[in-house]
Amino acid sequence: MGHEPRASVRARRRAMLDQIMRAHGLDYSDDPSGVTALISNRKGSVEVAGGLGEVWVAGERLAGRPLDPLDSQLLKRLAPSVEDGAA
Amino acid sequence: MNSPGRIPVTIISGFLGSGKTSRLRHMLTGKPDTAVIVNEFGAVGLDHELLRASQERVELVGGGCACCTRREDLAETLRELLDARDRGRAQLRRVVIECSGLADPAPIVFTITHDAMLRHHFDVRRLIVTVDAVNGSHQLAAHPEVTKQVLLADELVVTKVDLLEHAPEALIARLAELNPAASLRTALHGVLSDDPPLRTGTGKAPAAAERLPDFAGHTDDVRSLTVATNDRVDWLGFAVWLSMLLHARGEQVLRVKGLLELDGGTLVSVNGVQHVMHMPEHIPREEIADPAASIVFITRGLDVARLQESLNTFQRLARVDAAVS
Repeated sequence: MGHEPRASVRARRRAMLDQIMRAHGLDYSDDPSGVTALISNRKGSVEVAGGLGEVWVAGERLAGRPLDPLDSQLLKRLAPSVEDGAA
Repeated sequence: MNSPGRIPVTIISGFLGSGKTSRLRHMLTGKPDTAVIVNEFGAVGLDHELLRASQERVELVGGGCACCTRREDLAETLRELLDARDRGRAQLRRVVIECSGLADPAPIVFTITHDAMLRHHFDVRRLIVTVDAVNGSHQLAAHPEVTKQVLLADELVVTKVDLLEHAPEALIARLAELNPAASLRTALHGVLSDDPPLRTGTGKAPAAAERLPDFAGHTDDVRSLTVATNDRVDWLGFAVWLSMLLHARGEQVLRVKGLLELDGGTLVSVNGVQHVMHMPEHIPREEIADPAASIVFITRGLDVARLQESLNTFQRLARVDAAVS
């Protein structure tokens, strides 16, 4: 939505979801189109997700806990990423 | 929510005796190609008969609230209307659903927007809620159904103002406090006042973060957060955040409505009822009298300060990624 090139939006989306998943001990990657995502945990389990809604569901299954944007621990974990990038 | 090709649906709700049918009858004047679906709570559908005088196609979904026991009936009724149109038996330019006074309108919206077939044919445009000027304050305090209806409204209509000597200022203030995203007008015998709207429903509210104190009964954990987005918003950051929020907390986010100014200056309207988010819509700047952007979240049991902190964190995260990508 807007004038930003699609490739840039996809790269930002990938980086953002990667940060969120890493904060839950997970790894995130997706195909160049950003349509299909792979989410994995450190035990080697992998799930495929076809959209944001499925990303959260798969992430919860692999992390074994809810993915909640209001979780104070998540916000603390994301804050250093923000500060590092801003520096 | 303009979507060319789909049949616009207006939902009209409001507590028992709040003037829904009067308002509806006036709305239908001169629009014979409107299908009306009436949901009655009770065995005898009086409103159904009142409307039949002026409308050819009035369907009754009776015997229970459309929200809890009759959703499949509602879906079936809409399918039958489409079938009648396709067979040339009826004109169908718009649909109005009049809810039971006890109904929660959210599942009605959900029924239409999540039905694989119906969502391609029908477009829920407006949720109008009538509130009785005389009894509205009491009903808000006594009946949680009324509060829920008000929270979900796009357009609030205060009826029966002629029965009071003075304008119902306390009620109007309460309605504006409960749902700052809705437009607010008065009506007499179903006819909207010629006066300008008491509120325009742009989602703009006076405070950056607004709490609702002294809420009665079980609604005491309902909070309204107005995020005055004077700063432009990164759409990606907002969309990822809202998707995650609704996934985790959809039951607690009763309403999301407002106008965002995105990086680049584009204006986008956002409109959602619980789990149901309408497609965001670009709004030409010239169509907005006051383009000050803000978005209202009406929530139940959520810490609004945490909500704001979370939104800010995700916005910064998206912008950091923009800086490094």
